[in-house]
Amino acid sequence: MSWQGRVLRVNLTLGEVTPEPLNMEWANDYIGERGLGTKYLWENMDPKVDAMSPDNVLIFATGPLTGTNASTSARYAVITKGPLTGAIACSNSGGKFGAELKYAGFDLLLVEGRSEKPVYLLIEGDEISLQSAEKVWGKSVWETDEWIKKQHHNPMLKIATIGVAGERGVRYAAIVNDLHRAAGRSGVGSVMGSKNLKAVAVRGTFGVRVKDPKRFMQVTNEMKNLLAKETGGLTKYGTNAMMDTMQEFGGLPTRNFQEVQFAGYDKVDARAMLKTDETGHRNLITNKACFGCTIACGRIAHIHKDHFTIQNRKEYWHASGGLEYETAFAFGPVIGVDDIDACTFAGYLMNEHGMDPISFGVTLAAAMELFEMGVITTDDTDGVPLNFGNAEALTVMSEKTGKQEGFGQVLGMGSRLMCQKYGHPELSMTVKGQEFAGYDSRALQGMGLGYATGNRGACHLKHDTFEVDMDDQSGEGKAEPCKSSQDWTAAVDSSGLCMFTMGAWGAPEFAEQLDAGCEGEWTAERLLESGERIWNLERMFNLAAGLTCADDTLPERLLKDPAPSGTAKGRVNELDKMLPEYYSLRGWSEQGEPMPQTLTRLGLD
Amino acid sequence: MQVEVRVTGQLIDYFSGTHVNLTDGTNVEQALVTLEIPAASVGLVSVNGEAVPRAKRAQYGLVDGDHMVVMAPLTGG
Repeated sequence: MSWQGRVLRVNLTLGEVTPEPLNMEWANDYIGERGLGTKYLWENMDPKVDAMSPDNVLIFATGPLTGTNASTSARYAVITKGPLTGAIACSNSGGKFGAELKYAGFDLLLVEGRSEKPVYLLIEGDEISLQSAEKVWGKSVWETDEWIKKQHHNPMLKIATIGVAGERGVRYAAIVNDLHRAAGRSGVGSVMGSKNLKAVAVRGTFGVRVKDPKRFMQVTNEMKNLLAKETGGLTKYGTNAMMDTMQEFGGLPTRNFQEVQFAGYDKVDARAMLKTDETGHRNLITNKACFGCTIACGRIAHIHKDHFTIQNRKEYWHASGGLEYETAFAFGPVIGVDDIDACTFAGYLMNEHGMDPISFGVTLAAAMELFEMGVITTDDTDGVPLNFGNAEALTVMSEKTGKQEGFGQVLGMGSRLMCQKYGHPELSMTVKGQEFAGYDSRALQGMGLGYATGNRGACHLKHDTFEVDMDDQSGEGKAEPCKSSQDWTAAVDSSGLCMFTMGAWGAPEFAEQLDAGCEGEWTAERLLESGERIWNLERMFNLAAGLTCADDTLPERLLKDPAPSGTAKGRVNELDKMLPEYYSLRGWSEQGEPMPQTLTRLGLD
Repeated sequence: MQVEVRVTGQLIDYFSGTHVNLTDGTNVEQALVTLEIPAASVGLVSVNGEAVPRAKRAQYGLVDGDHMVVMAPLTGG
């Protein structure tokens, strides 16, 4: 129950689509979504293959609660080997696409091979087919979405697509669904582009059955009430409400992590989005919810039409996805820009062309540091001065990267390869090749450990050490909450629900909903053990792909240059103290490899 | 005594002023009660730029002219 019991295997080389039964044994061990997708990936490909080769596998996976009436049940994940890192990539999205996929009768799509010509996958009622995408190859996310709906006379189709960035190999290209929600991180869109798969368009009319409808309704209603008490701030202010907290805390990465506080933060934060200017214009229009969500943290914004970015460009005078904390950080402090309309426009461009804003912004930040050092000049950057604070450089380079023109081709390489190209790898603010999110790990020590050990590279969403990090700026006692929250987050990411519920729901609350909805006896203990199993399987994938403990590290800037200000002034990240304890708690060797007894305990041997 | 107060994030719903008058000897925990900000809704308090951990709020006495920042919890995003 709650599963449709079907996987769609799509072989692009052969042009075949084949439904097959869902492996329920794996679903019971790996929950769904991130965990189940990882298991399918592990069983269907060699982790050593090149991420952009036809031998890589691309998986779209829903969770057991995706599409149910549990709150936040919109989630699906894309799992593959990532081109940015060479490690496992798992990127999670909301919107409406995930639930629609479930309603179309499939729990998981497994895409293998490479099509000779551009195609999109159509699942519409009983029709499952690969259709020519040659007319939209070279088109944006937004154009593709519109074209496919018109082509099939069906505005109800839910579409996940790549833009030009994904077609042309930007290493952090995203898969955008429902116009402005995205499986944004780790370059999953690049893998999709390498397969000549432009889009997946789905219309589902089946329902989702749950094990005990009456109990499920009762439990999910109780959980919605609990959620409402804890998440009002997210509804009202969105995630960008964290900007001024990070500023005061002194963990707001500024100018490529050279500083930890940004003087112009209050021009791009949540309060700035709510301000009405002298012309009567306000950035924020309203909030927006993903499918089934009772939080509605999403932002819908618009740009002043006299702003330099969209003057005489009427196609951008509409409302679209607004700033969230990570986009505001990536287009604001980390590149020294304090122009909210420019930041909002860059956000539009990320959605339109299909790119990860975090990786783009942090890559641009490194380019700006290279520019200010004189390593690159306007001769390299198409005449655009890449000084920190240059809002025009932000928007021009967003478009160039999205379309893969000029210096945008360099920015599309990602920070690690770009900094290596110019002989300054130390300027790349990455782990395993993936760029940091908006938290400086000199101020947030557990975050630093989570970044360093992140299976998909630097990521703020695969562990939850915020509370302990805020209360104590030392590295003491951070290994255990990092490890246990990584396991717990892996379970949440596999459920089909959103991690923004974690402030209100713990393992018992998740287990109760799963148990009411799904077959099997779900308990908090079983969920946590499943999360640990998932984390270890991801680790095994990475080790098999060739990564080692040497990849569990941070840039020297964070390990040697003390935080220049803020509540953690004078501190560096204490990774050398935290990492051995973390490996020990995980049951891993000093080389970061799971010990045989750990694998046996988790059923991974 | 008067203490300068700044709150961050969604805590603006509890306090939108700039200063609060407190009796002499008030500590951080008591100041939060005066401001009617639930302790559980606070991520961190800093006074004059120095972090005051949760366990030390009741021991940390405020003095006239202090600058107190009450930060909302971080949630990721």
